[in-house]
Amino acid sequence: MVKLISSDGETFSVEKDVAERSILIKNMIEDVGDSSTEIPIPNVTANVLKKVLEWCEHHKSDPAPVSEDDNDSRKKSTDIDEWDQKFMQVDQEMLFEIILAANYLDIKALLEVGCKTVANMIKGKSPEEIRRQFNIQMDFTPEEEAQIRRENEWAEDR
Amino acid sequence: MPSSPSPSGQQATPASPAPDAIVSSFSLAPTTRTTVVSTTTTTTTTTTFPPLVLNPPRHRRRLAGTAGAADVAPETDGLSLVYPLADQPTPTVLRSFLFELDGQQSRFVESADPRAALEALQQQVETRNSTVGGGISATAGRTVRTTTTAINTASPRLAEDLSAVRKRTLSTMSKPNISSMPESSSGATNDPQSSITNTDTSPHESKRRMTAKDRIDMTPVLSDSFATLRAPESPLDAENSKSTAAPVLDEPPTRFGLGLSTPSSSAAATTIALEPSSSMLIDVQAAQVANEINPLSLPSPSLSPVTGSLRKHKDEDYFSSKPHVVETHETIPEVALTSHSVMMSIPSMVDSFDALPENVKDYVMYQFLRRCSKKSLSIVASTVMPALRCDFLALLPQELIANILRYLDVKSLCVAAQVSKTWKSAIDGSPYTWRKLLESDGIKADGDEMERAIREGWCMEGWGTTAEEDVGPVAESSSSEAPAATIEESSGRRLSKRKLSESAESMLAAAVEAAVTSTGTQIGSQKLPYPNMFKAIYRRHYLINKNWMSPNSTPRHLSLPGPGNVVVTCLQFDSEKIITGYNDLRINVYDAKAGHLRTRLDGHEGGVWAMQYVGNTLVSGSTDRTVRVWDIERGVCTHIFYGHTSTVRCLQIVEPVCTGYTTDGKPIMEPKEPIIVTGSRDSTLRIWRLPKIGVDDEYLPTSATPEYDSDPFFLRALNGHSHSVRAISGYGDTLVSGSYDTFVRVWKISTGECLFRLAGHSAKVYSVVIDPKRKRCISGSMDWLVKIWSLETGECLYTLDGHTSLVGLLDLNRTALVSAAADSTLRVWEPETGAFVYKLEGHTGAITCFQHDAHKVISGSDGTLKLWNIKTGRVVKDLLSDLNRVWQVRFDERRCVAAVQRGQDTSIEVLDFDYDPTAPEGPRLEVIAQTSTKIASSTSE
Repeated sequence: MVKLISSDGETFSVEKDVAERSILIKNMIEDVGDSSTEIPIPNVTANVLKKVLEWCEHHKSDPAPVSEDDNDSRKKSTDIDEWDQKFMQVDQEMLFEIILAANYLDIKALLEVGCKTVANMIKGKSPEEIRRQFNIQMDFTPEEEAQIRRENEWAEDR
Repeated sequence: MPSSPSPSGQQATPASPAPDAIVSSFSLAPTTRTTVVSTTTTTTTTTTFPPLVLNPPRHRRRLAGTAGAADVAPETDGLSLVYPLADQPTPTVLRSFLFELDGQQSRFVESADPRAALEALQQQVETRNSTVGGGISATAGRTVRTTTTAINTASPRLAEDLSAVRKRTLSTMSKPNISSMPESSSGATNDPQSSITNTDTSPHESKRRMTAKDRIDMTPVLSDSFATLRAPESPLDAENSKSTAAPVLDEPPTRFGLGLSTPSSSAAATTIALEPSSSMLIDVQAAQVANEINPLSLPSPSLSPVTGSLRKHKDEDYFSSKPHVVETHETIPEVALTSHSVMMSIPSMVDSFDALPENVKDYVMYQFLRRCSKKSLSIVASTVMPALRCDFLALLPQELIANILRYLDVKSLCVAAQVSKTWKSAIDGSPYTWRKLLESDGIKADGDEMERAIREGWCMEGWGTTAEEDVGPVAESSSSEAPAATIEESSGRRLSKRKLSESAESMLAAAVEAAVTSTGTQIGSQKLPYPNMFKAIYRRHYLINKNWMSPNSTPRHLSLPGPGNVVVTCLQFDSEKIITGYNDLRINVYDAKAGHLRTRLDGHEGGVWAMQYVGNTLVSGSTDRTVRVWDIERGVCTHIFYGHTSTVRCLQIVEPVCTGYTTDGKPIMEPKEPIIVTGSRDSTLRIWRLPKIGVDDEYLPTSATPEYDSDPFFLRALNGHSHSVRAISGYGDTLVSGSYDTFVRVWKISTGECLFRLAGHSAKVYSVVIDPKRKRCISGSMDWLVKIWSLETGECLYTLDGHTSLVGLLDLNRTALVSAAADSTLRVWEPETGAFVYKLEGHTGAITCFQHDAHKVISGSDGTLKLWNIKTGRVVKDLLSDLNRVWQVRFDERRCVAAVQRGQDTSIEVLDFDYDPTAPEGPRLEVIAQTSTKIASSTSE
């Protein structure tokens, strides 16, 4: 078992192979050479760490990630397995925190799932729909908006 | 939450119902504060309560300078992140609504303009005060006061209120110190303030002050339960108000405690009238004065003990106070909660809530939520969810943004770029994103392409200046100057932060240099900042491809006359030159832009049947059995290789590629240096080192010396085939050859060893192609079959049948394998499984030539040159028709070059799809006069 301390002081005891989904933690354990030490995770709060560990638990026996062809992964954009899709059904604030945590903890697969989830939230929408989706203020003047529309017209339909 | 009073209101004491209408209004400071005005209406009269001023959230006040002893101190700049709703306007649904208060329909209104609301009230007070016997209405406005005076007068006023109520005579009792507008409370201005302040005389004031203590005596009469709670309050208030006056003043726009009196005789209402101000007092003093005040002065029986105890135990675990909460709830009689009292206690409830430690807030909030109906929760959800939304592209670090963007297609990217300024600069200014897209389409955006894009001023509108045109049309696009400047600024910043690839910097340097050296054409053109050029390049390619695939395309057409009635056996071109080989000995080099014949490479003594060039080095093979190497620029032959004993039918320059890594991580390059592989009718293959033009000595033996071993470039001969070698394909250290002996052989280039003899075809093999990615090779044969072989085992993996004649041509790319046959069809196959995808049907004769890419197939047959959509298998259009022959066809990103025969004459037709599809002027057909090798173009059509 490995003990992880969140930034707000909560302790999580998890199996070593779960914690080692995080390359950062894996390296730390290797460096320390003793998996019984407590490992502080200063950038992740308890509620996010809990969520991340839930993912790691579910994916603990996943095969090591193969370095996949960039073009292939682009095609798979919408491919998120069912469990991960459910897992990612969280508010955007949490999704944001998960992405940051996955990046910090170096959990590539989780980072990818997070980024894909955001990408899927952007896909197939109009600018206005995207603004609503992410609660973004439109900050173009009407002239700028028209200009920017013209600049991006070329990619419309096909 | 505001709607929740009704249940408790229904349980209220029978004492409250007033004969008169009751109006209560609540108001708070503007902008940063919430002002709530609550009114209760009856059938005939509408009476408005003095406003309840809700203090701004506690954390805001602390920011304003009052040191709080409490919990988590939010970061000043991150305030809206921690409290996303703090600065948000109240949701419309909560701004105004009807509810029932003791059976009376009531209206709760939050003033849209708190300042104006306060002013209105002040004026009200003024007018009432001037009217003797204003009675009920007079009391309405008098509750407005300044921050400081509010404290001072809080208790007195209550006393007065009470007496007023009792006597029902008071018309102008309290001196409403107008609490100015929040903004000005620190001292400024305000006419209303002064006028109202003057409505009462100071004697009055002091008198009232005296009566303050009376209140203690009075309250019990009015409401026992409240009285017990409040009794100690007013003396303390009086004291404390003095001690805290200064801090309050130091904190200008924070709060206004507003006492409030009611016109009714309702005891409860009257009692409550004090609450806003008293709760304010609590607040102010929380940090500096005795905590003991709090529980006592808090108005709401159910809440105050909680708050009080929590305050006391601020630094303790909130659980320790939890039992106390429960206890309080149980011990305080429900009856104390009259509707009015509950309404009036809202400000202090809010203050109490503010005073809670963060974690306890979560708990209390949950308790509130637990008491909310689905409807209320829905309101909460619709308020909270947007606040929890997250502008990922504005908040995430750059590399993570790029990670998201790489999952988006072009269309989504261009839509997303229109979302906001941040998104625009994040997307348009991301070289990584666009370079990835370009790469996935097999386009390299660096080097020449970038240089050209910068030189020609490619941007997001129009077509820039093409090299052949003048600068004229660019003026149009300068209209987008302003947004471009914004982009430049932000993306410039970004670029410095981000190192997307190691080459980015050097490319930037190259691009800048290119821009500098080509300033001549830059004048007047709108220049995109460097990172944004990648999107411009992508756009250009995207539109060119759109041109290609449009049935209505009107490519610029250049027609170069050929040397008469000959067979064009070979064709290769780039943006500078078009080189053709003929069966009549010659090789012609044309200028690709102007169209004139630049050079003739003369020397072969037989027809040229195989040819390839790399850079300035051209290699040709001929029926004269020689292989010749040419310096294209100088137009001279530099090397002659003898050795083959019959026609050189096919050749390939195999350049070094990285085929793997050594154990210490160094790339393995194979072959070690560029080589020439030739296949001949003499059934052998030969390998030479490719001479370096200008470096290696020329080697021009005068005759076919028998001792060709002395040839310094010759490496080895590959023997094994028993018939003419018709096709070769090499990659790395592997070479595949197809022969008329029906076999395909796999060779190891570095040793000359024959790895496999692939047997399976029953007739001559006409075409082979190597598939290094899958470690396979593919062959086409006169037996109508296409076979896919494993280069690892030598097995035939798939046999693709369908063609009904000789399969003479094969072409493979990442997404498709295409075969062309003498049965006048082409077939598209899935390269992984060999599955049949499409049959391209439409030609009327044997396919003589074709090429394909991810989008299209262009094929030539007897009379026409056809363009097919490889994704649908349908013909897009005939690019050229009414021809006698199509000898050869090649295309690149923007141009299609075909060697054709019209009547007795061969010609080279160039179709240029690099044109602005929206340009008003249609492209032209240019015919280069046959007789001259100089530019002699005439415009027609």
